[in-house]
Amino acid sequence: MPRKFAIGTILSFASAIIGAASAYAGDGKLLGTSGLLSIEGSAGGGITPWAVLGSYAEAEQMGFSASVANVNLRDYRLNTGALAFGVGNRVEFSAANQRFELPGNAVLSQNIFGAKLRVAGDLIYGRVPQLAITLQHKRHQDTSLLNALGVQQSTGTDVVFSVAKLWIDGAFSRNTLANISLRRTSAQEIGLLGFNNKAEWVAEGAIAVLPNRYWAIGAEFRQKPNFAGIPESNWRDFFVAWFPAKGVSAAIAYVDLGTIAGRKDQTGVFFTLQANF
Amino acid sequence: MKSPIQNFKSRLKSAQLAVFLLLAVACASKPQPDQLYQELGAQAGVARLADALIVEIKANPKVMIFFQDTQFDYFRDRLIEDICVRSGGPCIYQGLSMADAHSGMEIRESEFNYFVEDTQKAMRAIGLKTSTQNKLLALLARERNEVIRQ
Repeated sequence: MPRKFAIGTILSFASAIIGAASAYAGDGKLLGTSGLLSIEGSAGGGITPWAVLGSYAEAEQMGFSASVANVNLRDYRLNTGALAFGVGNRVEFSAANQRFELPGNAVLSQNIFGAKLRVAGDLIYGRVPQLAITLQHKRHQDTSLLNALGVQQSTGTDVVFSVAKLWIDGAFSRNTLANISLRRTSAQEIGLLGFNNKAEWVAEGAIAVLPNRYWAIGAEFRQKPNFAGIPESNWRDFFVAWFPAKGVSAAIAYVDLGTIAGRKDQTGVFFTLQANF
Repeated sequence: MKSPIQNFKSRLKSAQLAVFLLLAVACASKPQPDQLYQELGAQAGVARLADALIVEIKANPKVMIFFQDTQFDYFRDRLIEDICVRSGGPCIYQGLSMADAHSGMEIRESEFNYFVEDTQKAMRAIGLKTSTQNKLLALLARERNEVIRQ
């Protein structure tokens, strides 16, 4: 099948599905306020989950989000696919698959099952910012490579406490969003390199400014644990996100993930494409 | 070597400094009480916005269901007064309180947002600057608790 035709067919199928689905979709949130599905599946930015909930479902609505993401680093590549189901702007269930390609064709892969509860507040309205608790249960599909690397644990569960606020009339009279999270984790390199017997607290943060309704520019920071003998670099990125309509969104980012498993300067480009219905 | 906490603290400090500088710049010029009203284009601009918003409401079935019994001439006058007062203009609002005006409507969170989107469309249609739009939306957002679930 000619490639152009294939892409055209896929796009028209996709737009037909999105068009049909959007007839019943949860579309009650304002554009962009669902964020994007992060590389761990939970809605947020790119490399950190935020207190925002995936999909555009407001109270008494339901909605889905689906995304693919690719992080292309100097020595590694991470491909993720994620699905999220939002219920009533209260709960988010997510599932993600991560494929981490190492030098020499080796692949580590884990699944992440997430649940997020909005505990209090609202991202935009009222005095109380949006508070959420996220659970991320991570599980490797194939433990043989992990075992060969001397890692015993192939599953782990992170707990993330997040607070987020969007000021409509924020910096430069632009919508301005900030998120701060605390995470309890035993995951090594977010679980891609397995899990430790110990757990640590780490902090994560993000800030974004929306030049207009359709674009957001921002940065994220993710502290990483330092388990004995397994030094990890903190992660950061600078992103541009695009929300042309509620049905579709995309983001591109420069990521700096530091040293991963002894390989330095893991910088690169992050790209994600998402559909909401 | 710095511990991760120290490392994070020093990062946090520089982030705090950046936020402080941003705020300092943002607050440097104290706005006049009627600055937003002037940005909206004073009385003529507010009337233009009200007309544009009524066009959007009538075109949006999800919002229009709440305006089935509305006398739009009356609504337009109250809307102009409301925007005028909230933006610092020299008007007196002669309508019902927000809570009374929406009493019995049971407006949902999503439906409030559909109205916000109509307001965004109207403001875009008459060519308001993004900063002006956001200032007005921030005022509208404050009314939400007296509008929804009444």
